Amino acid sequence: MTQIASHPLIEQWAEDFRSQPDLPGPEWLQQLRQSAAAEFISAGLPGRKTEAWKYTPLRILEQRAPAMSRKLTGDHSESDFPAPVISAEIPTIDGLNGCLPEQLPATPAGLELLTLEKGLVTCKEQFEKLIPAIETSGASRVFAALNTAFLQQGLVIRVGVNCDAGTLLLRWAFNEDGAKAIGNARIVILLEQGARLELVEQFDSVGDVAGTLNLVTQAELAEGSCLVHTRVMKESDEAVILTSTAVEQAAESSYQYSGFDLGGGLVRHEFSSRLAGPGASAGFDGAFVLDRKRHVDNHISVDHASAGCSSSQFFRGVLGGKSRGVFNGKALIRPGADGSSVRQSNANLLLSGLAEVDTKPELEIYADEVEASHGATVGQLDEEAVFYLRSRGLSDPMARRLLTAAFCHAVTDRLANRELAEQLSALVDSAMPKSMIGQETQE
Amino acid sequence: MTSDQNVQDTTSVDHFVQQKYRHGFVTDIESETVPPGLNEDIVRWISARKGEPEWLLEWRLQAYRRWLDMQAPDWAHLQIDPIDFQAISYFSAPKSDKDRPQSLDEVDPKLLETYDKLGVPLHERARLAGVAVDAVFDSVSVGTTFRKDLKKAGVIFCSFSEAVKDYPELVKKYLGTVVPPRDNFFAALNSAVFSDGSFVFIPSGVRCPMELSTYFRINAAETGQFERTLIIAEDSSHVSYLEGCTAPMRDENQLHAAVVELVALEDAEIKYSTVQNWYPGDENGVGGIYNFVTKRGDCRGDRSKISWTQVETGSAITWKYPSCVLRGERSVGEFYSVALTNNCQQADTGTKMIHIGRDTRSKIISKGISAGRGQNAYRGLVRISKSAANARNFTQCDSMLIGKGCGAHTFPYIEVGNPSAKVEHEATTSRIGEDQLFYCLQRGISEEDAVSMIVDGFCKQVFRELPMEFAVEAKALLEVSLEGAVG
Repeated sequence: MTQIASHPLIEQWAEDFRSQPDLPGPEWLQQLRQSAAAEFISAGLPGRKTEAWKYTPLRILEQRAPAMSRKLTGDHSESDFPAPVISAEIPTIDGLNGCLPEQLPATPAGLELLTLEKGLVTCKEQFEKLIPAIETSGASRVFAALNTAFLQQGLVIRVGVNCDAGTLLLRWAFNEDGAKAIGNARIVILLEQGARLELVEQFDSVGDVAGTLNLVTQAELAEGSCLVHTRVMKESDEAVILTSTAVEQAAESSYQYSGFDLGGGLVRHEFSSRLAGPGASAGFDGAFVLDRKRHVDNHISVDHASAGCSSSQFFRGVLGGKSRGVFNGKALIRPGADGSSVRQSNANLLLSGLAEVDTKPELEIYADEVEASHGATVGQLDEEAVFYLRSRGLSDPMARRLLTAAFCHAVTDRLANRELAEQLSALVDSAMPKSMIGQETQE
Repeated sequence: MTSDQNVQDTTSVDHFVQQKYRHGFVTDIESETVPPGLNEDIVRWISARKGEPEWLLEWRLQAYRRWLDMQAPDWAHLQIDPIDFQAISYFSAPKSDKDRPQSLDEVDPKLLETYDKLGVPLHERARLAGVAVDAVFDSVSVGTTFRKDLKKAGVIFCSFSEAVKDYPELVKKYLGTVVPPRDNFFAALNSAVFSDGSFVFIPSGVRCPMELSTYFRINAAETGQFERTLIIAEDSSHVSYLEGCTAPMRDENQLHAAVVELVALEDAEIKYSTVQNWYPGDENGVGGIYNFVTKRGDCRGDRSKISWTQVETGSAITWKYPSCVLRGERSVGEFYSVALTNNCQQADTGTKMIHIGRDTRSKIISKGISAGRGQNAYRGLVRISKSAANARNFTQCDSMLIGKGCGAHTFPYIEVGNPSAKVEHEATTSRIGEDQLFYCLQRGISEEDAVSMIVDGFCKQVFRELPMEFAVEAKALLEVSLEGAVG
């Protein structure tokens, strides 16, 4: 590791890498860490000229210059975690400052939870293929490279053949120990044939901690399996959350993501889904409600590599204050992927003169038997609808708030888990930008 | 032209080029075509050859120096082998009549067949095929008549070189103000070595009495590979400008890098229509023109309007984004495009609508048709700045796929910074409608005719924006371009 880094922050992380003690793991993993470190050092920090990051500046990260988190495991205190978004008694795993507990909860039959260390032994063959599959080259992949270079701990979720594992809750939080540090974590999800899992991730801390999380999730969905993945972002404006999720899908498998970005100072979600087998489907839904200087970026890339696959993207954004929302949805239909269908939709409401939204729904199509469409809009509430509600006796701010909330409920309405949908609808309502709430109290 | 005249011309040119350039020009050039390669001497030679003033030479040199520090863009969805810019000759004078075919009998029959299909009038065929003009066609008189009418209206329509000589102040005032030399790699290259082009000036309050067309401006013939066009519409004026023609244009130069600048002042309107049908290369992708164009219109005045309409069927590679900068309040930008790629053609084209002024509006209608192994990408930007209150954009961008090997891609960038703006973007991609095809076939229409009929319907929104005679030709052009795409 004698490369010279192009950015002080990268240099700092490179130094962290050089000075870290030898990490455990098989030889291939050691080599992978070395090459990933070389990748992030040579690529540097993504900036305006990196196409995938052109709308998401990393100033906050540069100013904070978080050190690589040393603490990897530990027993977490319940007081560090706000109440769960779902009330039902379900297996819950708590990650604090990016580090996961050594003690994992008891699980129903068919659902297996392992630490990464154990997974490397138990799922040796799968891991040798899966872990290096995450792309780490180039400036746009710096955080995946960083995660791989410091890869030491993580969680493996495995669901057996034809087993419905129910719902699993994963809570992420920061406490004072995690301030000014960057935590790296990896989640590996392995669904066997016909398996089903609902994973709910909650990002929420008790205090306003300036924590940074770099989370990489890799999922392998065998034939006919189904992963329902919901993320609820409720972090404070101080938090920086960078996630990158790669899903490999076999025939007839389905991945359904729903993201609710209602908190966090800088939040960036990157998804790549490869529909490798015929009939696979991937759906990405999301609602982001932003205020103050918050920044949320959703980058989705779906690769239709097989025939008869379908994918959809459905995002709604509400932006107040000086916030900025970014949506980049891409669908690639490879030659031979006939019978593919793609739907992309992104609608946004801009509430403030200082907020900004940047949206880019992309299609790249190399097969002719396809149906693809995308739509993106930026606008305001329908004044006729506001008038209608006012004629029914609602105040103007109340009418606007109701319509704005309804605009976001289009996303919660698509959730299959009705209990969760109700909880999230209430959360979305309470996350409405201050300007709207302010107007209401003034009346 | 007699042989005596030829000799005389050659001698005077030789005399001219052999004289040493007073600013230290040293390259020894004996012919009208400079040797391949680009350096400051070549830029100086081009400028001197055109008898340009000092300031323009300086402008070219600065652009050249900028260009040296720039990289060829690689973001477009195009597969291009690296271009060796030092292997290109940056100036070649128009062919002398001696080198041209002397009659239509000497012209490639394949080309004539295409003219026939397009319905190009007989007397125009000779001109398009490059037959020595004075032998066949009275275009001189046509050109002169037009010029008289235009002069009466106060419209200036001439070649760029003439404008530099006759209206230096106007050129100096507007040149590079819409597309600055540093804008991009190809704009910088064009600024350094531009050969010629058109200059149009419509004075205040004038509605140009006719559609201006490069086609009728006889001195526009073979303006070369680095064309530069500047159109200025003063307050409350109106002009419609047609560029190109539907007939296939054969050109020996593989790289074309043109720059078009439009300036619309208060209440002015510019309508710019293009039909581009440069040689697309053969069925296997051998040969063909690389077309890298920077076209931009600046709606400087309030209530001004710039409308781009393009039908792109030619070129092996098209890299082109006619744009509008909507600076004036209530200004309007429009973009209507049909882009067709067949065989091995590649196109990365679209537009940029930059809303700066209040109440600005823009509309984008883009129709992409991919056939054979053609790759067609729409790339567009709609930016609503913080200052653009009540801005409005509507974008519709549809792609049609004909055949298994082709590709259709869409890359729309939407950046909105004003809460009162309304932006709508919608796009669809699908193969040619099988039920529509079936219906036509069932009514006894041949497959080829059915396809062209459906494609024509698909493009209707754009064709109706074209001047009428162009629209008729454009329809025929699509039919010819789609030949062999079906079956």
